This record gives sequence, structure tokens and C-alpha cells, in this order.
Amino acid sequence: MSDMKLYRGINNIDDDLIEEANCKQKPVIHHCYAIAASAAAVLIAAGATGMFNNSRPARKLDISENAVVSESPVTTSSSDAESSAVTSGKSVTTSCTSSSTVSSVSDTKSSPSTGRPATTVSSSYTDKTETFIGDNKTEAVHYDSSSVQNYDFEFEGSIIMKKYAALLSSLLMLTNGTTAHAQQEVYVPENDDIVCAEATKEFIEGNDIDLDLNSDGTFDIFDIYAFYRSEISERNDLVSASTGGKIPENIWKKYKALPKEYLSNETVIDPETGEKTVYHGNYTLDTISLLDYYLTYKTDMKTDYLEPDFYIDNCKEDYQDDFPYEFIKNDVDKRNMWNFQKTMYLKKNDDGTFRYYTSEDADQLSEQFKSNGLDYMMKCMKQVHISPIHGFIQDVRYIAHETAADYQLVKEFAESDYADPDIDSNGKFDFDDIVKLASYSHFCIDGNRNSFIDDIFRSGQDYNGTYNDHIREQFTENEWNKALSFFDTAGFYFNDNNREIVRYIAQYYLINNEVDDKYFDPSYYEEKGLAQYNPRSYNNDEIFGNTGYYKHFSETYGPASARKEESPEFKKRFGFTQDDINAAFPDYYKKVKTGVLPKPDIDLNGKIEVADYNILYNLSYEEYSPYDYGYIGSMIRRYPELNVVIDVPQNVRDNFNTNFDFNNNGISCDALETDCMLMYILNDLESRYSDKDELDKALDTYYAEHPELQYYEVFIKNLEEFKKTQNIESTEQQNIAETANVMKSVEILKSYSSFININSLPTGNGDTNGDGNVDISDAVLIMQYISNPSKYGINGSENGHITDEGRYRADVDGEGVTNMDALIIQKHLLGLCDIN
Amino acid sequence: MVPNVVFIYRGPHERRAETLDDASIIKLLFERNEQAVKEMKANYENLCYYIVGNILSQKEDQEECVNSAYMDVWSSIPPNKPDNLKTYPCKLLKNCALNRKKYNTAAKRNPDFSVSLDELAECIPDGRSVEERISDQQLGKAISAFLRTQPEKYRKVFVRRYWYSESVEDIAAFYDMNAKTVATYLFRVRKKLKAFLQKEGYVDE
Repeated sequence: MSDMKLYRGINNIDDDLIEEANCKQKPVIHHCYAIAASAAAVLIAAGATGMFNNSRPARKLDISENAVVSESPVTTSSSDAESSAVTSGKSVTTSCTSSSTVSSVSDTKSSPSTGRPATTVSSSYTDKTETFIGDNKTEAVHYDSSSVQNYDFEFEGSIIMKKYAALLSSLLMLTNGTTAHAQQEVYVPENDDIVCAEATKEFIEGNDIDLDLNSDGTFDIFDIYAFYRSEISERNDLVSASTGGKIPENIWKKYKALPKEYLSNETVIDPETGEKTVYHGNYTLDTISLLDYYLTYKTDMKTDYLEPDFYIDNCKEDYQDDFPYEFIKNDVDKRNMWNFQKTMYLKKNDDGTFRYYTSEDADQLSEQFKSNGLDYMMKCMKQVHISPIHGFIQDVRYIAHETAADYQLVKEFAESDYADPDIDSNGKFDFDDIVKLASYSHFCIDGNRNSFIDDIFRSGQDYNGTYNDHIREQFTENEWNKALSFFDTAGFYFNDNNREIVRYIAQYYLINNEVDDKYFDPSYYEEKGLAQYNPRSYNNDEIFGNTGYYKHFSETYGPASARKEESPEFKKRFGFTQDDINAAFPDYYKKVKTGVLPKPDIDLNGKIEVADYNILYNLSYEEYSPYDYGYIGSMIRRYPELNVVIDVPQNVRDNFNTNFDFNNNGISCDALETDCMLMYILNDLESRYSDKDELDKALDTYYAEHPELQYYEVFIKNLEEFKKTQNIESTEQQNIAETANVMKSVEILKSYSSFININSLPTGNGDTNGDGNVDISDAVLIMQYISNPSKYGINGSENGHITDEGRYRADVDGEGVTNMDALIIQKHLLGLCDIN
Repeated sequence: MVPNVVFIYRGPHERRAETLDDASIIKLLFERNEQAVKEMKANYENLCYYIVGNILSQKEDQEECVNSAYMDVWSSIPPNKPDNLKTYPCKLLKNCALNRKKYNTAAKRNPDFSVSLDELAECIPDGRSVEERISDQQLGKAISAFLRTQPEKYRKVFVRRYWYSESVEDIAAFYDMNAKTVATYLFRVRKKLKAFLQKEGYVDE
């Protein structure tokens, strides 16, 4: 059972997660997000300069860890009715969000290419000529300010390939999303939290809920912040020493009055199968769902939302926190994850003053935790003062990424002087720098923090690097430090998964710049020692493993996209949707059953067997090769000697290319025809094998016994030969008997609605003996077939025995061939009923 | 060498007032001192029975699995030296309980456990399955990485549901939360786990 496998996997999760869940305190609000795994070189100690452009001040030294700050925050007292400025005494301005530039979801409609509700987002950019950092001039980039639909494109090119292998139609749907490339398309990333956002919107707007918690006349980020503060106060977070401050009474009243639980029925349409699934959700209105709603429908994302100083300087409400705000500020030159973490946790000295955690604190905590267990750790946590502002910002950062709202910051980040992306210091930012960043992310994927102790340890740790001999092969020390600094800053604004950051930056670069084709050549990275390819690898989400994806992205959204001409051949062969196939299959099935169309006997042996399924599948994959944006397709287009030709006899190949154009578009075995044929074969096989396992075994066995017919195996073999000639180290091989792709296709085809409903397809017409008429001889043959199958069955000894087509035509009531069919035919002949 | 002790279930009232810490117990195991098993029982017996009781309803099955877990710990340490002695026998115990569990026998099914399994099935798209070639440990690592990207509150609730096999109501009571809130959190994490498993290629396509 697959869910047992998953259960066993969950049984093997890391110990600290198990321990964490055993902590009886309520789950706390602050989150342990991943950060960059390795610390950088000692930038501060080295007095690194040039990290930022000259227009920004150089990085200052951190406040001394032992600096004493007054315990009381510099705030003025607040009344219940009003709150006054906090800390700095500056005049407070409430940040009012602009009116929504985001289309309501209710205005969206299902994308015909994806079959699921599209998220429409209006770009807030205007037409202008863009230049990127450095000397690279770009072409004018025009941002469409009208609503655009999501482009449903899988991130990993390898999955594109696999999904074609599994389901031709899913890729057909993609092609419908990219018809004529008459102009540069606008890339809109996918909102992973759209379902939650929709449910929350429906709840809030359907019930006219007042979310203006601070009663300033508008719903904005400070209301969500107020909700967050109230939420953690209500949960009476005892884990940390911070008490959550004091919630102004007007906010508390409104918060308590809010309805927080609701039911929602969401219909999600699987873009691959078109299958609808209704989720019955019990939703809770919480900070996360409010942020989902706010960032999806109510505002563009702003860097302000990620900066502690913004809340300190602009929040009108006084939450009377018990630690000094000066300590948690992240001034403009300290907006990076290192300082964010450092300022998130404070330790209270015995004299009531505060300080940052030191590495000595962290070392001590770590040892004591190991020897004394969770209880001690929890007590230690009670000594820690955690900034609720930082906790809230972590929520914002998380949801901004889930909703893809943070993608709106990429432009600002890339074109500002927040971080220096010229990693190789050649004076310009180009794709080589992105390659360096991708390589860095290969070493340092994310923080992979294990526990709160990790947070404390890192906040107390010196900012030092892990530059070592292994890294030296790819980076100079300066490059490494620059990359670390870049991600340290980028993590402040985006979800601090380095690979995700690389993806954002690469996408943005490709939208604005044409790049040399070599960057889309997998061999380029292999030769540099940056990657070794395993075509079967699951996790190819670095640039190196996904060159096909980035090439296609560049062709679709980059400056050259307007020049790209669509291949008419591709559209003709693959331009079908799943709906087209579902509509075509019943008619195809009937015509084959009644002998109007030939059976899909691909190997011409007179029988429908697993061989037909396998060969048809592999031959169709050959046709797809030129359009495959995964690794295999990328390599074949670049190196034609890798092209795959499976070893079928010529007459079989001619049969494939000639005899199955039943939609009369001039192409035999186009994607629609192939899928229909595969489904027909599958249905036939299922009726002859006793169960799924037996059929699976038969398919597996055929695959293993005929590697020369398997597209994947032939490619692997070609690749090995190619690498020998190129003197490239061989890639890792998996078991050559792998049948995964073929087996995957079986499961996907079986999920087609037309396949599922195959038994309710139109019934026969009564012409059992196939003479073109419906008369008493047809009824007689039915009865003969039932009573004496050895003579009149499909393999019967008598001439004129029933045929397979005849059996289909005989089944007039759709209940299988029975004497009732004979009776219906007789009644029809007497004029007592219609055949169907 | 098999410890020469008889494992008898002792309730919480019989627990000794003072127990050794994990490092000391591991030291005893390395010395092949049978006292190690007694100390482990004293520390973790309640937890073990709690966990196995969420999966197996029969007392005899529970006792057998718990004892089997202690034997496995004795046999595997050394050479293993786990960082966390508490979860180590618990994982062995759960594996034993899962193997013992007669899922298809309705009479012996623990309804809560069955419901949690059914919920997990939502994480796997229809007609597909988790890649069998991936070891349980590899899958565990991947799921751990996924859980770390989730908010702490979601993560803890998820682990209590699917590792500790607790009911939604028990989780709500444990954390002093509303049961519907717990259900909401589980719902969200399952959906995100489903997307994660598909994106990372852990699900057969």
C-alpha cells in the first residue's frame, strides 16, 4: 500500500522533529525556517568593502554583543483609545495599501490549457526600457499591465519529460498554453496557496468581516500584525521569556469578536487528468490565512513588510514589549539574514539589561541540551526573548513565497544595490555569475536548522565561512564570500532556500537578456565539473540539471521570444487537449470494435499484446524527442548523434507511420491517436489478465527482455558511447531493467475519464454476424455462441462463428452478450422496441 | 548476549524516582550491562506503550512489540550509537507495530490509526504510489526537510498525528488547541506534502 510506504517514511523523520512535537507547550508562532547552511568568511573582520555599490554605505560593525541598553523601550504611554509613536519619536505615518491591483479570483476562469482556475495578477509595472546591473544593455521590456493568466509550466524540465512519458496529453495541454509566439509573454509564477487564499476570501468577503483591527479606517499590514500579536498573546506563549507584550484593548476586543472557524468546499482540478477533487476543509482564520488573502488579493508585495524597522517606525499601536527596540532594528545596511537572526533573539542579563546571544551561550546550551534533554532546552528557551516583529516577518516571508508575491520583489532586488551579484568580479553581472550562484546553492541549499538551539547557535556565532578545499575547486575565496553575502541578503527578502533564489534571479535575467546558447548545454556544466547527469534523477532543480527548462523559459519569456516561430509540425502532432482525447476515444473504441478501424496491432502479429503497448509507447516517444525540453531532448538537439531510434522492424515502423491516421490530419499516430490506441490496448489487456499485478509483471518482463526497443535504454547507451568520445566521465546508471516510464503511463491513462467510463460506451447495433443487416440470424448466432461456445465462440470450430467485432455488435443492452440481447433483437424485428 | 530478564509490564506507579540519562544508558549498553534495559524501560516505557497503543489495540500485541523493541535496542547498540535514545526504540517499536498490524482485519483495526492512514492517502495522487525504490530512511529525510519548511505549529501537529498516531482530539488537548484548528493545520500540511512529493519526484507518475 502506497500510503503505508508514506507512513513508514514519516516514521523515519528526524529525531528532533519527534522531540519537538512532544513538547507540551502550544506550538509557538515563531518559525524555524531554513537559512543558508554555511556561514561566510569573516566579512566584518576583514572589513570587506565593495560588497555594495558605492551609493550605499559600507557595512557597519554590529552593535557590541555586550552593549547595555536600557531595559525599557523608548515608548510613550498609550491610552486605550489611541496609540502613540513608538521608540524613535518620529512622526508616525500609517502605511496605507494601495487599492487592489489584483483581479478578484471570481473573475478568473479555468485555463483551457491547464484545466484549473487560473490566478490572474495584474502587473504593476509600466512600459519602460530596462537595464540590468552592470554593463549589459537589454532590449526594451514591456510589461503587460493587463491581467494575464498563469502559465502552467512545470519547473523541472526532467518532470516535463517524465510526464510526457507518462501522459502524452499533459504536454498537449502545455502546448495549448503556448500557441503562437507573436510577442513576448509575461511570466507569472504560480500561487501555491491559492486554494487557502480563495477560501479565506470567500469567508471574509462573504461574511463582511471587519478586519480593521486597529480601527484606522483601512485594512493593511498593521491589522494583520495586530492579529498576529493578539494570536500569540491568546495562546499565552510560555516557551520564550517574551510575554508577547500587551494588546491594546480596542484591538483585543475586535480580535476576540472575529469568527475564526469556517467550512469550505474547494474544487481542485488536476491539470493532468482533468479530474475534479472536492476538498472539504475546516479552516481557521489565522495569521497565515490572512496573509494568504492579503498578499493574493489586497496588495502588492513590498520590501517594507520584511523590515523590522518598518514596524518599529510606523506601527501606531504600542504593544509594550519588554525589550528595547533598538536592539532588534535592522538598519538599511544590515538587511540580511545574519543580522535578522542575530537581532531576533535577546538574552536578559541578571541586571535586567539585554544583550545578544554569544557563541559561548550557544555552545553551552548545545551541550546541556544533549545531556539533559528537552526539558532543559525548554527552560533555556524561557530565558530567550524573541522579537515578535521578527516572528511576524517570518510569517510574511513564508507566505510571500508560497503565494509567489515575493517574485514581485525580484525586479527591485535585482536592479537596486541591495547586494552585489557580480560574483566573479569581472565588472558585470552576467549568466556566469548566475552559474556561480547556482553552484553555491548546490553546496548550501538552505539552513537545514534542526532546532531552536540551531537558531541560538547561529545568532551567537561569528560570521565566518566554511571555505575549504572542496569548495576551492569551484570558487575563489572572494567569489565564495560574495556569493554568501548575496544569498545572505537575498534570503532577507525571499524565502531563504538558495535554490529558489537562484531560480528567481535566473528567470529575471532570462526575461531581460538573451544568453549564449552554451548555457543551455548540459555538457557545458559537466565539463566544468559543476554537474554530472543522471537522466533518471528526481531532483534536478539546479540550473545545471534543468537547462531544458531554462532554455524553454528563455524562448518563451525572453527578448528573443517574439522571433520564435511555432512549429506547425508540433501543433499538428501534439496540439490536442485531454478533452479532445476524451471526446475522441469512445468513437475510436467503437469503430475498432466494429471493424471500421484497424486494431492497434502495432507489431503486426495479429494479436493485441503487451508488445503493442510497449512499442507504440516508445515509437511515440521518438516522435516527441525534437520537442522535449528535458535533459534528453536538450542533448539530442545539441548532439544529433544521441538521437534515439528504437530497433523495430521496418514494417512495424511503416505501420506506425502510415495506418493510424483516423482523424485524417495527415499524421498517423499523432498524440490523440496514440493515446486512444494505448487506452484501447490497455483495456483489452486488462480483460485478459487476472489482476493488475499480473499485467504489470507482463509489461515489466517485456521491457526487461527488449532493451533495444526502450527509448530510455537506447538513449543511455548512446550517451555512454558519446561520453567516451568526448572523454567525459560517465554518469551514474540505474538498473537497466527499469520500466518506470512505461508503468507510469499505464496509471495515468487509466485516470482518463473516457477510459474510466469505457464500460458505459455506446452499445452494439445488433449485427452480430457482420453481414450489414440486423435479422433473425443475428439473434440465432448469439444464442449459439452462448450455448455452444466451442463451436460458435470467438475461437469456435464452426464457420460463421462469432467474431470479436460481432460480439461487440451483439451487446445491444450494454450488459455483455446474453440471451437478453437475442430477445431484444427479436423484439426489434417485431417492431416492439428499438435496438438501443 | 541476550539479557536474562523477564520483561513485565509495569505501570507508571512502579517507576523509579531517579533515572539515568541517555548517555549513561548508552554507556551501559556498550558495556553489555543488562541494567541498561531496565533503565530504558524506566525512562521510556510509558511513551512506548502510548505509541504502540495508538497502532495496536490488543494488549498482547503491544507487550510483544515493546519487548521486541527493547531486544532490538540491545542487539543494535553497539555498534549503533544513536544521538537520541528516546526516539530510537520508539522508531523500532513503530516498525514492529506496523509489521504486526493486521490492517485488513477489521476486527483488529484501531479506527484512529486507520483514519490517519486514510488521511495520508490524500498526499498521494490517485492512481499513483510513492516510489518503492526509495528507502524508508531516505523518504524520512525528505519528509523531515519538508516539515522544516513548514510553520512550527503545523509541523508539530502533523508529527503528533502521523508519528505519534494521536487522534485529532488528543492533539488538541495536548496543545490546548481547538480540534478544528488541528484539523485545519493537518489539512494544509497534507496538501503541501502532496505537492512536495510530486515536485521532488517521490511519487510514481
